[in-house]
Amino acid sequence: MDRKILMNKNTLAALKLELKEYNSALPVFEMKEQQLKQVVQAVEESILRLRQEIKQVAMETKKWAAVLADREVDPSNLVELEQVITKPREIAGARITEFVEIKFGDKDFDLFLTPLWVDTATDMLADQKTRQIMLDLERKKLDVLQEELYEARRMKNALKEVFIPETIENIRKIEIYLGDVERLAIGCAKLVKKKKTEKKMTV
Amino acid sequence: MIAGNLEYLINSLPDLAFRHDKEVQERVEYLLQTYAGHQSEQDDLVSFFVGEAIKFLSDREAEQLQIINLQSIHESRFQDSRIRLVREYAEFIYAFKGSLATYRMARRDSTTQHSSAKHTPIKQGTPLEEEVQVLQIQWEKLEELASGHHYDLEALIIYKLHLEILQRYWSFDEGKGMDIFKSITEKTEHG
Repeated sequence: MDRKILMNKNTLAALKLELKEYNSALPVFEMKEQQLKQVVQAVEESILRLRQEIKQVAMETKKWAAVLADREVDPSNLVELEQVITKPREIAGARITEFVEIKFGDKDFDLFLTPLWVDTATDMLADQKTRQIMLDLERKKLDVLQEELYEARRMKNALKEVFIPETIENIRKIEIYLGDVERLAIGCAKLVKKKKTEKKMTV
Repeated sequence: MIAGNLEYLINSLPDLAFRHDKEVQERVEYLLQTYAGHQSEQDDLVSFFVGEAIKFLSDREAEQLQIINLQSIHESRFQDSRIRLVREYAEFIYAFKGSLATYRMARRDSTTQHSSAKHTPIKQGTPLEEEVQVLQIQWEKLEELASGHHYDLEALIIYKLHLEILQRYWSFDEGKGMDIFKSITEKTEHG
């Protein structure tokens, strides 16, 4: 921040006020950064857990997936995603979307006509799809939180390393300057007084 | 198929065994396709077989062979069939499907699971294991009914139903199944 400052008492007062505001804003951004770091870590852990679960289920599914190629049934009709219910939430200024519930269309299979595997496979497909949707939402949440964390960190660093030190330096410069001016004025006044006294004595 | 009588036809058909074996599958496919004069892998083996078999049957018998299939064998028209084998198998499948439906209903409702599970011949396993058991039970019942039928319409009906069971069994493919699983679960079409 390289700006010209007026070396007067008004500027000094304004800068002191600015410094006060900066000093009160800094802990807010530090706290926000801390809070967001914790939430980001939690979301990252959740993503990792969901990924592991999805991988594990896919490995388990491999044991019976052959039946999904059954020519009698089209498995894509087994699971119909009806609604993903989410709710908005604000964490340290970041607006995120939280997963609440997932609704699949009611599939009332004819238990007499459909193959036996349909029951278990439908549940497993729905569960895995739910995990996948939760993972997508967590990824989106992470993007928003990381953006907000980046912004909070940027503001904290700007305050800590630029605004506050520069303002302190400017205050110091003005105070020195005003001090010099004051001393000069006193010196001048003393000199004038001395000259007047000397003049009186000679008269 | 080389021209001949029904006995020759039946003797020249590839042997069928309840196995998910690529070699057996390819041999059966090759023989049926060769006999029928087709080479395309996409064609239906049951259609090849029926197409050849009806050449040795009367119109009435040919119609009976054509309409019988595994998916609808439980229907009342088959339970009332004049052919004893068809009647018995239709009644068996009807009862078997009924017991499976009861079992599935009970499995949905966990409170009645234990009592109803005892009445089904299916051992709990993965969806694939359970479905193979279902096919095997259907296969074995046909084997049981086959005794005494060697060169008649009933033998052809049994062969057709066996072939349908095998075609379904052979359609169970892990690679294709996993592709389907991924395409369904990885498609997240929410807003």
